[in-house]
Amino acid sequence: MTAKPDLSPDTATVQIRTVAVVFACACAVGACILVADADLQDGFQVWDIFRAVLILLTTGWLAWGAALGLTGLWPKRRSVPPHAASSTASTVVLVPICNEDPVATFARIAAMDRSIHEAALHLDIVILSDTRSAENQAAEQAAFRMLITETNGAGHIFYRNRLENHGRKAGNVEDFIRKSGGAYDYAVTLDADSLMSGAALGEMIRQMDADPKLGLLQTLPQITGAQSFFGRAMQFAASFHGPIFTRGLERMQGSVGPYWGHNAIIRIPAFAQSCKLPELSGKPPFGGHILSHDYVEAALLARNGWRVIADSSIDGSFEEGPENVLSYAKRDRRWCQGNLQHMRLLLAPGLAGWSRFVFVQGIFAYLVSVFWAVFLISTVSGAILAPEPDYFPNAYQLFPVFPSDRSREILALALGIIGLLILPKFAILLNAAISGRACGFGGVYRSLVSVVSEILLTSALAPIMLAYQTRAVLQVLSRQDGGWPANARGEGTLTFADAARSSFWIVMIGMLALVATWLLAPALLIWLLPVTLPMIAAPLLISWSSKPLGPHPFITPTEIDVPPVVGAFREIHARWRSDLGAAEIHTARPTELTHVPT
Amino acid sequence: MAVPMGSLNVEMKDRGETGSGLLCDDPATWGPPEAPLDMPYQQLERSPRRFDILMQLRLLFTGQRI
Repeated sequence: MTAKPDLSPDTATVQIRTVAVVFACACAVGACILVADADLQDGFQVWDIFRAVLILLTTGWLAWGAALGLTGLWPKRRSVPPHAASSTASTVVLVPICNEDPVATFARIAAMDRSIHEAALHLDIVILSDTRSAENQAAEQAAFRMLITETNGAGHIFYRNRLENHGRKAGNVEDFIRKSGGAYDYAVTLDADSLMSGAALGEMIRQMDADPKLGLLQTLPQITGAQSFFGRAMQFAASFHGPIFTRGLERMQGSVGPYWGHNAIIRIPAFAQSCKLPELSGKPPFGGHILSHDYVEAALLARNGWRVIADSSIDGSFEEGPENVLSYAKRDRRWCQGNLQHMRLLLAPGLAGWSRFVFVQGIFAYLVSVFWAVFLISTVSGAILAPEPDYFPNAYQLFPVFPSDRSREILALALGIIGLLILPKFAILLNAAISGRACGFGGVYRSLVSVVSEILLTSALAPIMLAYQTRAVLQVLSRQDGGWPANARGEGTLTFADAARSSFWIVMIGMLALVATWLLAPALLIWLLPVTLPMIAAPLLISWSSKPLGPHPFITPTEIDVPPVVGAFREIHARWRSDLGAAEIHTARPTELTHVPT
Repeated sequence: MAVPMGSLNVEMKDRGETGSGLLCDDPATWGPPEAPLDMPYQQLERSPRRFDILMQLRLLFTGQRI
């Protein structure tokens, strides 16, 4: 069972990694030189070192992201033949849940079961419940009865509730594998909001059959069902840009790919052999259970010689996304803690170099917000504390020497950074227009409008996200454990009051920064307005972007041509809701119809 | 065919089935088949290397009861 094949990257992978690293380093060094050159005009200060290092790191990170997008532009050749003999492997679909809306979750399972039968597959489905309250367990059991009646699924759809929730979701799956894993060859891991078509599941099984060294295959789930401005923008971005960035990642990672915890298939013997996670010594947030377990499990599979790959070309993989900034920030807080915990694992024995690099990327994804915040603070501080210009540095000097104006260099830097952010998105738009992919998004013109709208929205929200991420990092670094609360799915519109309560501190920081800059460094005011104004308008932006949006902006292929499994879910869910009636809906807590995040 | 919550009332059997495609009443029987699999713990943390002075002394003075 111990595979231990050579997972070292092939020549093409090494070349593409080298190009991406060189590109990121060149951009970072260029930005660093521009900032250092501008800073040193008024003499050397300690802030100058800070700013040079911070711009090096942040620009390098942006350029690395841009490189992922750009390297994904070229289509990939399929290496596995499209048709193969029918599989003899035994596969189970795992749905770990904890305090989810059982009616919606089980309606998804009913839709998947229907799709599985249509694809002539014979798979078991197991609902792994970690729900603790008796009331919620009763609601799940009632929904399970509905599921079995709907699907005639007794004998191949199972439900079990764990007595102890040791290890959260990773522990839940592990518990199943230890007790029942011997009955199956493969397991498809899902989230409560996951949907996968039978065809997608069949393709994943076929790829696992075709490659006995493949330990894990990750699909790229498309977001469906978004209603709000924010949710629809995220849904569009995931559908339009996501596959290209993921393809870049696929090229870069070789056989040491990612696991995102759901919408993936695992080889059970490999997973059992490699992925029993220990508790880390010490207390949370850095000790205890490993929160972002998926990255670690992927690294452990690779450590034991199993290939881990992502395949963005598999259609029929879906999930739902956050509908507003607050639920996004809440999820981000969990992920931040999980990723920063990986600092403990950077030197874990035997890991592949790329696995360590993936950990570094995950950590950096959150630290970079702090770096940007410190860069802005140090820029303002440097301007305030800068010495007065010395117009007559030499004795007996006839004419004054004016400090050279470096506005042009600073403008070039700002444009370069903006370019790194938006260049890949417009390159993807051009690619979609040429390849015809834009037709699925309503045509080239509507794709352009959607891309520009998404860039404007994310730019306006960026300072708010930066504030939430910086707070999350500081909380974790000051050892505040945020726990791992259940996902808030399907939440509704936020009122201005809801948004103001959660973002009051961001407004205060924005106002303070604006007033301080105006009084102490007025020359910087205009440069900081794109940061301070959105912070001051945070409640307005958060509540406005959570409002429902019509179906036309940000249209995606799954809305133009609704996939059968998504349509089946909606039909079953609506029918069950209707049959249950309003009274019973409110007893089945928590529910996606009534939940509002705090 | 959809049925309101709690309206089903059928008899128990192994693995949740009644034999007629319906479900037993006891949720404890609804679980998957048992087929245990061993999952060995994975080592993720390097054991801290402590300078053990007694061990060094034992190496230096082999045979002594240190």
